[in-house]
Amino acid sequence: MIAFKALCACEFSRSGTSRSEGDGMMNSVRMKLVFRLGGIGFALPVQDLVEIREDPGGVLDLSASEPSTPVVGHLMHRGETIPIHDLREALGLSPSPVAEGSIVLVLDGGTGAWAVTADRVEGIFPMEEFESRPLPLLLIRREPLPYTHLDLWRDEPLVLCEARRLEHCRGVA
Amino acid sequence: MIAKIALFALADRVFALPVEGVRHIVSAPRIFSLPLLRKGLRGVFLYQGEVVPLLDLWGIFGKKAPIAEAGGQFTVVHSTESGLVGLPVSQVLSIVNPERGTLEYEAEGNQTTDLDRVFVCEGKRYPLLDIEKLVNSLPR
Repeated sequence: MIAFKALCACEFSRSGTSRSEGDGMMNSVRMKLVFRLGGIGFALPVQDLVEIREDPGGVLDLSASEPSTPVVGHLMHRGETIPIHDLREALGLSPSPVAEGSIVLVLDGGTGAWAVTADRVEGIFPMEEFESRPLPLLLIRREPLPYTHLDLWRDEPLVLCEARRLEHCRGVA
Repeated sequence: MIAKIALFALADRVFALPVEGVRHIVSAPRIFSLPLLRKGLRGVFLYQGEVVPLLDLWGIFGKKAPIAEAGGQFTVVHSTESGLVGLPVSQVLSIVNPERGTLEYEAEGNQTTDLDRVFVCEGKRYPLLDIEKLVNSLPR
């Protein structure tokens, strides 16, 4: 938990290194974030991750949710207002209300930063802990899926996320 | 020509499988859900380091899985042209030579989708599953 709290204070710079407030530790970004949404595990390369906001508190504006879209609120990020998306519907998961204590992941999108909610963050782990697997043929559908690979991590298959591919889930071309 | 037939039970349902396609029968593994699974699949599990889809046999039998039985006690790992697939079973009843029974076709009107052949053995009717046909019929 201490490592995760320290992580929440981290900001992942676009140069591909992380800076941790207070300890000056520099880490090579060959790492992945593991998070959960709707009971499913996801792995996100940290180069796609800008920031983790745990308990965004007053900066999470849920009143600005847009009906009939997956936008559930907005967040102030580096002086800009960015949308927060709940990917549950796009991923066929059961809906769940977003509370102010939710975890928000700010992602590096092709059209700018955007954010998604997460139920829980397990942590950030070195690439060596993950083994990539292609999707079994039987899982492939007629419509393209928002993911094409799985990552085996500690005897569990995680959905490998790519921020640009996820952007298609939120309706960005 | 079917060499041997394996007989299984899934709660109160029984069915049969030609053994040629059976790769392994394992204790029911942990099942993981994935987003946007095809209808007819229940989840995935890990088998020898690979991700294998698990068929929703309950749905194929036209029933709703009772929670306690949803995953079965065992999983039959079966080969198909599209890769391995898992089938949940409660019991492995027997493996018999085909001569121990007879193969029949279900009369029209009695057929459940893809379960149109029946192996009748010692007075009991075991729908004979064609796994290749089943997976090819899963909606995409």
